[in-house]
Amino acid sequence: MYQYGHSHDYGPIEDFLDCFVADGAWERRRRDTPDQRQPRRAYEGHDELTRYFGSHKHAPDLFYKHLVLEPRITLDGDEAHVVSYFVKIDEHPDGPYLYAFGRYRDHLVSCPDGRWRFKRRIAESEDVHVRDWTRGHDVSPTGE
Amino acid sequence: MGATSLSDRVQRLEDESNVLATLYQYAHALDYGPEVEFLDCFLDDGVWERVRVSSAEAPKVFAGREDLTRFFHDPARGRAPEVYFKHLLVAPQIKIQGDEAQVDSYFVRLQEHPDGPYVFAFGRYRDVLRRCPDGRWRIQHRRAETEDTHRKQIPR
Repeated sequence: MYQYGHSHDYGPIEDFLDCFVADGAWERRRRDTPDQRQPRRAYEGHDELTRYFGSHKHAPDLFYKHLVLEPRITLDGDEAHVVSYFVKIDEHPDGPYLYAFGRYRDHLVSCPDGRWRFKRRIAESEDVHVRDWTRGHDVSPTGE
Repeated sequence: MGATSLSDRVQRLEDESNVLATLYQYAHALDYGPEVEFLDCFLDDGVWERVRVSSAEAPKVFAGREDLTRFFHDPARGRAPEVYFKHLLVAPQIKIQGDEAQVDSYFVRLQEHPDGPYVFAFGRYRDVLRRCPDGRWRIQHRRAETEDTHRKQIPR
């Protein structure tokens, strides 16, 4: 879960993809789904996850931080379900600010190499603060 | 990972836990004191270095006990209860090899303000720690890479 944050924010993409099993998925849900401004959206498999990764700027083009906090882990054999908080902090000419917060609802599986990888990560954005300044911000702000 | 013994795996967990204890001690001691606990996080010749990643400004370096004591008492920062702030350390990625640990982690500094608390700064810590004879892990080199800082005046 830490590798996800570091590789999302700095790359490389290989480390990001390595967080997911081959058919792993990343899904965004807004708190106000289904009457949301942005539709529920999912990226499934490494090809689509590569597209997801490419739709964001990364350091040093844009500095931001995905913080993951208070993970509640439920283990069941080779599967794990984790509910955690996320907070995203972004740079801005006026100073850093709180861009978004919400919850991750994760399903991970234990892999033959001993690593745990995401089968599905659901990012539930509960509030997002998109400010007008961009140094090439997300192409499609996800709030996560 | 598969071939390591149970005792090796327990040792690794214990090492990671002790490394984290030092990193957390650093934050608590910097935010609340006392000085002795702050200095105890570092080797005698430990180094604290700050780099502003989007600036041409030269790195700021404090090396050894005297410099670190000066860093701790920096009047521009202050400390509780005169001024309240929090150094948060998040998402530490720890790699241990023998008696050396390399840790990349995120930091966020939250700061009090009459208008309400705000994000003062964020960035990364790039740390090297060493296992000491007393069993503690201490910082040999902390590089604080500051990626953005607020320009608000800190209330005094």
